[in-house]
Amino acid sequence: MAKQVLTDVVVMLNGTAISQSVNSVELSLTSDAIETTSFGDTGFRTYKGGLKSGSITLSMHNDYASTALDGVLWALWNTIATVAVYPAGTPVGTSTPEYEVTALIDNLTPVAGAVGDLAVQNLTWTVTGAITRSES
Amino acid sequence: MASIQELREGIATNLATISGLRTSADIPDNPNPPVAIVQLNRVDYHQDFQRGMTEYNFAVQVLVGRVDDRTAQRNLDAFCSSTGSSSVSLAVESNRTLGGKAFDCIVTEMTSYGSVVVSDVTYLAAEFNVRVLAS
Repeated sequence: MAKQVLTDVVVMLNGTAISQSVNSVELSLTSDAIETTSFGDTGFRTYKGGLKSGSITLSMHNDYASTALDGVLWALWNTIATVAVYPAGTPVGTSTPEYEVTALIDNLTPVAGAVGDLAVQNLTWTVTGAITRSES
Repeated sequence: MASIQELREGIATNLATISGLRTSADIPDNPNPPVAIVQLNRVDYHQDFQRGMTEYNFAVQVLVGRVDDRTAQRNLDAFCSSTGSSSVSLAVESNRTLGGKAFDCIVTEMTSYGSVVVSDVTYLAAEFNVRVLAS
């Protein structure tokens, strides 16, 4: 498959599959731009890459049933958790990569919504440590 | 994973808790009022990854006879009320998982109220939107 629509993304949170409660995922990666401009650079700034960092944002439909999403998230609050994202589903392969991060679960919104709304949790967590991409 | 027929029948079962109201999970050729007819309006797929949730929108059309206009309107008013033993909203939401077939359901609005003609017979009718979340 070449370009594709995201439908079968798999999201694992500390080993628990939460994909079927997730409707949006964004893994954002950045690296610091360290300026290396010096005299004689003909008026243009130059940079090199510095420290890398990232964040992961998940939009989820909440489920308060025992052992369901709300309980899973609650147990992880203020801890470091592993988040694995398989944008093209599983198994992992050359065209179905896995991105894995560890993130600080430093915010939850167990209750959010007006009357008649679907219960949701839209959360962004800061990545701590390495970010890996694997194809096997 | 629930079938559309199971969801439709679940809504009809909940509506049947209204005393004196006939229900139909299928569209009848010759309705016998007062009757609530459950029809599928729209399906929104892929509400979660891995087909974790699908949103179904059903229309519930309630028909009452027009033999006496005044009585017909009073009867239909009772079905449209948010409270009371004839409330369509309360009845549909009396078992929000539709017998375990859905995650949740809610009657969002009543969208029309007036005369309709079915098989050359004029009825007074109201239509309700029912939002069902299921896998």
